[in-house]
Amino acid sequence: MIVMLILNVLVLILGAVFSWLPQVTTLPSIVGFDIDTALVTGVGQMHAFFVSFWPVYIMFQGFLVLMGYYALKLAIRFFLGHRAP
Amino acid sequence: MKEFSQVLILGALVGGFFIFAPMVRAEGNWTPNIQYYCDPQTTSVTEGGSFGGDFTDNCYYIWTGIANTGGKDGGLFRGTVGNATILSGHLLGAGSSGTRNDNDPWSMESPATNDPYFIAVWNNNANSADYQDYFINGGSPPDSDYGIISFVFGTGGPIGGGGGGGTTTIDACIGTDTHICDFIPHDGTTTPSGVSVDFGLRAYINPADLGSILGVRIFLHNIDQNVLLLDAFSPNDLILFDDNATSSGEFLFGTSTILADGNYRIKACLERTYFDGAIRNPFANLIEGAQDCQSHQFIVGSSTFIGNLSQNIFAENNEFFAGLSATSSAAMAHTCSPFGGDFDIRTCLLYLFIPDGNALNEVMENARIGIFSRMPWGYFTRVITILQNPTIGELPTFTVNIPTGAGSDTAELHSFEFDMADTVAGAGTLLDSIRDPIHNVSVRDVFYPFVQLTVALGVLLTILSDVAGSHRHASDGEGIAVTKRRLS
Repeated sequence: MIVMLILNVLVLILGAVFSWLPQVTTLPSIVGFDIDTALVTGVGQMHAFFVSFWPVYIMFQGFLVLMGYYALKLAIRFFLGHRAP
Repeated sequence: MKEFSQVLILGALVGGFFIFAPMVRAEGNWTPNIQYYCDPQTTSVTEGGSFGGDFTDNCYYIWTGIANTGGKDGGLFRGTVGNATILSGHLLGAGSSGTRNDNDPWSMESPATNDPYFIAVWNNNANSADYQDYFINGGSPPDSDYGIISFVFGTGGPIGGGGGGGTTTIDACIGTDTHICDFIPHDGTTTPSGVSVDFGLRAYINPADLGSILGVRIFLHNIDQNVLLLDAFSPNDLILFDDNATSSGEFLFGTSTILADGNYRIKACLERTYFDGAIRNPFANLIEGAQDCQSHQFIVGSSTFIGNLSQNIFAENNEFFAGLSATSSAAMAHTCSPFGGDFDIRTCLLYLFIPDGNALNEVMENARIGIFSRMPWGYFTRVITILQNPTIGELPTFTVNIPTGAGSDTAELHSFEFDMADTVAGAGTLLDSIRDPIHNVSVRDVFYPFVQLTVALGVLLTILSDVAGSHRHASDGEGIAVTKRRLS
């Protein structure tokens, strides 16, 4: 209960602070080239390839986990600056 | 004449004996030595008798004076021998005499008067599955080391109603997946001081989980909880069984030993291994969504304060992390109120600090919509969302037109079409068709867990080395700063 209350308050405050920023639903188009559609199509075809070549799929999953870690590290450094561990 | 008639009568009697004797089946040597009843009954049902009155699922299997002192199994069956359904199976214990108190799922039955049932007690040995097969499907039993009491249901019924709802208490160890069926002592049991504690494990091993590379390790471990709260440091731990499964089908293990008074936990595990147990993969579950390990807690004689504390914390942690939590503030208030009947400080603290899984998912979804999708980091979130989307798209088809005329003559064109989907799918089918002729497993079945383990370890080591490298560079930076201040 207490942890949920803290999390809810935190999400509420941060949501209010950043509410003036526009929300992103799709990636932008550059010079008429729709990056979002291209990425969705490409990832879908990649998954079709993964169905048969499963080792690559496992490596891709590991890659996603690793990218998640680097993104988290980047976010911590961005928000904490020199205070980051 | 009188003598002749006497001879005739005697001959008829003798002949009748030999004619009718085979119809009287001697169901095992142990039949006269076994008894069965359920609370609050106090006398056993008899062979061919009627089983009724009001009774609970708490039943007793009793055996006396059996020469074979090895382990024994018992169970309740619906039907007649050779045409039956097993309702429960129990590891009764060893010895020439004994009593096993266990649950039989009578409350799940809707028995009508004269419905046939029987209980059986048989030898717990390598042929245990053959005995069960005989009871269920007929044929011939492996030997005569078993006993059966056949009866019909009389009047009355199971207390608590019958027919539907709930689940069978004891797994009858049938099915197709590798799993733990049952192990004893059961959770919450108490054994008197000085009496041998029966340990047993029944598991089912699917043939597909055994092979030259694949294996299953079976582990039964008794943990003394009286000394320290951390079982890894308890000096009185007892490894009861720890070995690789050697054959598929039903696995049975039983032993008994005397334990000192106190609180104990018994843990049973089935674990995936490779190359005869040389490699264990903790990331791979044998069957999806199921636990590889189960624990029962029991007491011998008198319990201890530390033991009770350890058992209660273990039980409540398991209960809450299994998904049970207070989502209702009214329920939480009732538990945390010192004036309420359900007041429990430990439960109250757990309710207060451990979040509910569903509520946590809602908060994360709100955070994703309200915070993480905002510009500019929202573009990064969108990329992650696309990468995580498991939708399979269609591979393109390429068409190439090649002129077949002489020189620069493009009047004749020959069109070649390359269907990538067909090519890739065909390659996948070809790969899956290559199977081990002995165990009928494909390349994927064999190597998938290895690749998964290797990639997982690689990612983990990369992250750990990055963390360690960052910390070391930060320390070097501080050292250089101190040196600069000293020089200035």
